[in-house]
Amino acid sequence: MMNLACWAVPVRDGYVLRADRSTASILRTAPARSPQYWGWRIALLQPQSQQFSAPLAARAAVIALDYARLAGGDSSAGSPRRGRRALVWMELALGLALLIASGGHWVPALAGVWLLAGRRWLRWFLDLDGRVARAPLAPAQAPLISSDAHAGLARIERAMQDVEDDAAAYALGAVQARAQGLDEAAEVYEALAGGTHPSVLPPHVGFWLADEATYNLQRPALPAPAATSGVPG
Amino acid sequence: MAPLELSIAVHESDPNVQFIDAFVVPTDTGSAVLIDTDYGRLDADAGPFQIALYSRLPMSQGELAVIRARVEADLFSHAVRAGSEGRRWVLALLLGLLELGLVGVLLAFLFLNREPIHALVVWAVPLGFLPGLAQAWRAVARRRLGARARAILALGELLPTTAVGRDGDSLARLRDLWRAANEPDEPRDLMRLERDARGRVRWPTAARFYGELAGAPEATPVRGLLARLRSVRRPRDRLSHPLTHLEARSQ
Repeated sequence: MMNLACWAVPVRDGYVLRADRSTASILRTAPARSPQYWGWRIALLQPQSQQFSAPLAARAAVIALDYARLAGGDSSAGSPRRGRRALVWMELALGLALLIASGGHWVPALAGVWLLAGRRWLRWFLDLDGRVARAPLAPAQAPLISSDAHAGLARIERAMQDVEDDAAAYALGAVQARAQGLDEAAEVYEALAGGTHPSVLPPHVGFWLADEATYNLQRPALPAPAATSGVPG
Repeated sequence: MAPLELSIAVHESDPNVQFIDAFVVPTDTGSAVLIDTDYGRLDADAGPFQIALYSRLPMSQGELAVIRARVEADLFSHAVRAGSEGRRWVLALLLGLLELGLVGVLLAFLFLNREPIHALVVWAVPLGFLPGLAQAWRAVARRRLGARARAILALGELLPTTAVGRDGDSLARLRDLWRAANEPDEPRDLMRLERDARGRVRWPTAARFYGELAGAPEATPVRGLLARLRSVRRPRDRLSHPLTHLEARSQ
């Protein structure tokens, strides 16, 4: 299975779940791996006190990772592709030049044809440049989700608890997160410090998850039918 | 609803695993994780991979999970990049020899039939044919690297546990580096750490790591053809010997 990490960044009334920056890279390379490893082992990184509903957190973590998979992230293959394209254009130009300069003689003409198409066709025919096989990623296994306490997040949560004003607390959290190298958490706090409510955060920043005290899956939103049956009509 | 289970983060090492050494090293702002393992040497046929952590600081399970995820991303990105190297290298070599023959015939033709127009053709020979010959050379030279990368993609698995690093040399190097970094009356900056890593500790990987962290390659001006070639080669070196700055961590 693939080892993925998802941040549960503590905020005032819950957590913001966000995939680690390694996720996009792991999921981008996943189709090249053997299908037997197409499962997700997600480590949910939380401050030391886990206050969220486990099934909701699991679902939110999968959503956050899925978003990271679909959003992609930065591709490191950009510059080599540009270089390769420049090389192809150079070959084409030189091949054409050789053909024109051949004056009908077969030796330079053959060299020109080789540069124009021959080499690339032969490499394609012999499958020498074949990329690693890629198939659509379809994880067959249910994700395994574990909860891991992160000391850095715990320190930030403790520091924020002493600050009453929400915006000031988030600004402090952002500064502390940057100092600890927790860029994912810092971006969440920076977005919240501007006054945005966690529920309306854009998906690239994170997905809000209320803590257990705010929203409990065990407690139904509507009263049970048995409770209302005794009310005289 | 059952609470999420806590994963077991640090385990004793398994005799079949291959270790990926991760060191928590000092930086100017705290500490960072340095991966000192050549992914190109890992053999997935021999067994799964496991991170061997060398740290003088206590690490929480969450921090270990982040390191695992970052190493997983790094390892398989390397495998995908290197996986296409050296495929069917015998055929690539034959194609290279064919191309070499074609260059020979073309040069012989140009030499025997000296005409003004051929002066225009001569410059095209190295520019046009060297990339093809380089491709053949590269396929042969990197056949083992490519085979190992494809084995990583087919069989490679990073274990979800982290072993405690116990190699004596590695422990000593890390201890010396921290000792040098914590010397009183000296500011802890990246240049000094790089100098200590290179000189006192004799740990070239850490020295390169600090150099990259300080942005030294970008600061070095590229002058002359040789320097340009070296700067072009640098990404390839990094590909076969990755250095990863995973996480800064304040003390």
